[in-house]
Amino acid sequence: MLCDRAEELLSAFLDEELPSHESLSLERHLRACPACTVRLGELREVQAILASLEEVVPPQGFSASLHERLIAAAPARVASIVPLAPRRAARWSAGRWFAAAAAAAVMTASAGSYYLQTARTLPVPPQLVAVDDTPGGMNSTGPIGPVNPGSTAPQPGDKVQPTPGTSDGLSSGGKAQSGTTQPGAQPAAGQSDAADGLQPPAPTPRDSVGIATQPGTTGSGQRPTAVASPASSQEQSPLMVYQAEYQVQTANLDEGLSRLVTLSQDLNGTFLSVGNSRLDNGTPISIYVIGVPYSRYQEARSGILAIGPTLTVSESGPRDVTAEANALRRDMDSLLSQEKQLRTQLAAATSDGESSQISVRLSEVLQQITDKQARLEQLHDQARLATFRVTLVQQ
Amino acid sequence: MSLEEESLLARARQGDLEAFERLAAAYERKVYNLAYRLTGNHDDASDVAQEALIKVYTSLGDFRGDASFSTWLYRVVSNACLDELRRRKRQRATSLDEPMATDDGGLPRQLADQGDGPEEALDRKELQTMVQRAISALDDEHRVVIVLRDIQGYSYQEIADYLGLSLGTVKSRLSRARTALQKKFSELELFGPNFVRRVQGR
Repeated sequence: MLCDRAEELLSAFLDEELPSHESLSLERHLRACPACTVRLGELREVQAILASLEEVVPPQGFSASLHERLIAAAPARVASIVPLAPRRAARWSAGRWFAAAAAAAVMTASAGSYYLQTARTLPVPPQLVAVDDTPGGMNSTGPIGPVNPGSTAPQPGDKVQPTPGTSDGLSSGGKAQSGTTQPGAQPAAGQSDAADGLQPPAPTPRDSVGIATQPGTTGSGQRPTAVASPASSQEQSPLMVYQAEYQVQTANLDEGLSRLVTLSQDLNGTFLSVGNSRLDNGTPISIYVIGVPYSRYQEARSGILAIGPTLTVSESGPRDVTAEANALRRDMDSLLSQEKQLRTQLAAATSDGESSQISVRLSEVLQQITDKQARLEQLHDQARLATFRVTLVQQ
Repeated sequence: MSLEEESLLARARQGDLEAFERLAAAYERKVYNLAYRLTGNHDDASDVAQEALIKVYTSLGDFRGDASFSTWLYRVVSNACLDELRRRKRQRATSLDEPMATDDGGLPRQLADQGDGPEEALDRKELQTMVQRAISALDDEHRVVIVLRDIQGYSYQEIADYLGLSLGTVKSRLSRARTALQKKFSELELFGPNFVRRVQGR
């Protein structure tokens, strides 16, 4: 390695943010080059000086003056939370409900998009669909009947029942899907702090998974916590996933919200996300996603149904994902033994060319381990929390 | 995120200002410090930090829950601070020759003028100001990455997320920012074995 190249890498090296092969060759260069070693020390001192800067406190009156300015800014906000332009009077149907939910999902959680993906192939029980073609909305047909908890479980092979207005709704759903879905985004992803309290902490990362075991040669820095147990490539207990989407009519959105919050608290669950919007006819709606331990999903289900007249938009599960998880564990085991071999070869490498070749393969293997591990964690997150997406509709 | 914070967020999204202010209180100091390190003085920092928090408030409807609330907030805040700095720079384009505003007023620009040398001449507060001045002299794009990394302690990945940059760009900007600061510190004769200790006042 030449000094020019080494200098470019020194800063990231300090933060342990270099890929392992670059880190290794830089270390080799540093052992031979006093000038670059001095440079490294200088950069370290810059870091220390910056770290020694004291925290400053906002001046007196900061909050008060912020308050004034927020009040002045508030009207702009009211406009920004009502993104749906008023159109013709709503036609009510499962499809319309779905369209509203889909439109609202644009401004809420990625969790929403996940449901939109699954809802396409899930049955909408026909008896739950209220259709009202008269302008003026749902009130003229009376409330949508409460769901019978036993009647909504999806049957294998079921298809969406075509209902008037459904195609309209599904196409909106499709648009929202392509516009807002992030590949791999799942209800529980990014919410791990909320979910952490629900089960014992996952085991600490395995040494063999992280490059970080060699000081100064860390790879990507933040590695997901391993859920794989070193002793076994089998799940200890079946992993079951349950997800559902409901629409609930409520006389008062705030009251509906507080019932949902209480419900998730009572069931030792968590509140995952929230958003609000309006239907085409101006009816305010709020969309909440709550998660409860899988073992209590039936209680959550009955609790939600008790809030008010309810429509099931989609329901997925209980679904057993144990086999997929076990397959991931087997893959990881094999990747981990490849990693071990490569590390042995790396230690025995006799030339720069050979070791950088091995380093490249090692990073590839580590990347695959990280990917598999992330998917496994995702399954664990889903299995840990049965999630309910609940759209509260002002009655 | 605690249940209380989630419920505050829910209310704030429905336009509840008090709920938003309670939510924002937890982030206020960090936001203010970012603004202070980016602007280099308290007047501008107050303004910029407030602008950023207002931006958070008016953008709550865009928060989708695919990142944590704090990640989303820092993303909005970092960008709002940068926008505000650029706007101010355009406004000030006519008065570039004015002395840099600092809280201490007319600090000497060159330590060499002190006669006794930096060890004796500068107390801790002045040293902190000198360091801040060196930071303020960086380009916006270099300043923001070094403040987020070396003062606020975010990871490369977080900084990339906040600023919408690639990891490679974060890496190279940080490297250039550190090299530039190193040069400034040594020009100012700020380097030396006791410097860090003296800045810290120990």
